[in-house]
Amino acid sequence: MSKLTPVYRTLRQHRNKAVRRLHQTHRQTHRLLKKHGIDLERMRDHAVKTASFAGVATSALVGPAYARTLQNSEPEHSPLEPSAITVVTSPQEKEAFSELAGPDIRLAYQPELFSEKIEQIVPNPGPVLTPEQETAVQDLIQTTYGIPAKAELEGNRLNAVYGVMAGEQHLPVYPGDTLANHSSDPTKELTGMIPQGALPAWGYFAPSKAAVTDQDIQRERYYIAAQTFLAPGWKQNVNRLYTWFKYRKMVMVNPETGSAIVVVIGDAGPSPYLNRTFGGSNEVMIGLDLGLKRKGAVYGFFVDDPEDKIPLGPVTAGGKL
Amino acid sequence: MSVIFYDMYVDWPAIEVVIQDLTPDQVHQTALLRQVDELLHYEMLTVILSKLPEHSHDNFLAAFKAEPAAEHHHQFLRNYIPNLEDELRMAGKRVQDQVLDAIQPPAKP
Repeated sequence: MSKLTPVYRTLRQHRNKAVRRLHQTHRQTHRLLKKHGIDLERMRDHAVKTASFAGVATSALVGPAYARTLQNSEPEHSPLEPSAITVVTSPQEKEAFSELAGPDIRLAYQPELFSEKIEQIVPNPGPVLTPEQETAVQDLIQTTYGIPAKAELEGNRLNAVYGVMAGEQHLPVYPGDTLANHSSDPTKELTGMIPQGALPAWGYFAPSKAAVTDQDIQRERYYIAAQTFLAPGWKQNVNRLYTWFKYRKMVMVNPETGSAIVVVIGDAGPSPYLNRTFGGSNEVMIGLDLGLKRKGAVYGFFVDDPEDKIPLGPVTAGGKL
Repeated sequence: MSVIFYDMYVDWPAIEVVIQDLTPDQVHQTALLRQVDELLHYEMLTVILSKLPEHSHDNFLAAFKAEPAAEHHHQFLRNYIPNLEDELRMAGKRVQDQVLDAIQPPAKP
């Protein structure tokens, strides 16, 4: 191994962490960057071409020296056009550290990849997949969104990893909570809140208004209902599974659009007689591009996140109503 | 002028010197510098978008794409981020520290 290899690897790790930080802090960034045709990995090339187009002399440019050499190559388009970003990375440069190239983290934010591949992996989706399909879908979620997904976690699984999800009502975060407090949902008046006095499967998220934490608010905002009572082994292990499923983190994906969202199981349901498998809060439905349709097929896998580092909320730039 | 308006917050010559000391091979130098460059873009945008109100993200990114080097980004951003220079300088320093960390990892106790 060359002495440069560990340097390159550490720089790449720092860079990958920065990518994750940007996208996790600003969920809509990917959509906005795409909208404006900005590829941060080619930003330097674009900037140099733009400066060149504006008549700025090479010697006058402040920045990394290698950028000055980029100016020598002619842009394929006007730098002011969105398609102007040209790749000038040389093949030698790409190969310089090819041994460490690994999966490109940019892929973690390309939801189209999921939609393209899922049909090949699961041509006829049903509630239960074959072990090979489960593994392939888990890998696809990991590759596409960077989220470690498991159909079975710690020996536990739900009755289905695929099924129809329909919109649910808001849940009270604490005793006395009202719909007006759920300000993150632009469509809350359409669906309302479960009747006063009714409780979700695990009760209130917080015992009182004073005790509410940001985590409680996030859990209600991004909750799903899952048929935990139909999970394998439920009857034999009710107490253990009741506790295990409580606020269990999952990733839900709309296979049609590739939109994905990290959620918790916040309620048990829907009834098996309703021909659906999952329920989702308004925020979840919007995040999955099912906001107005209020119903659609989704995949749901547990998130293997023992240190609770993966935040709840949209993973992709979805959010169409 | 800067190629990108936030280049001025990074000591590029200093970074280049340490990378040139590592290897005389220009292909390797460029590959390493590209990693630093990408790290810089992500760090800077994280800082900027964290401080800038969400309703202005769209405007800023459109202007940034059109003119990556433009001085007027400073003026626009200062409306929302009074201590813009400090914030960007700190982000630049973080990038430089990460480069040094990669090149001279801290000695194990």
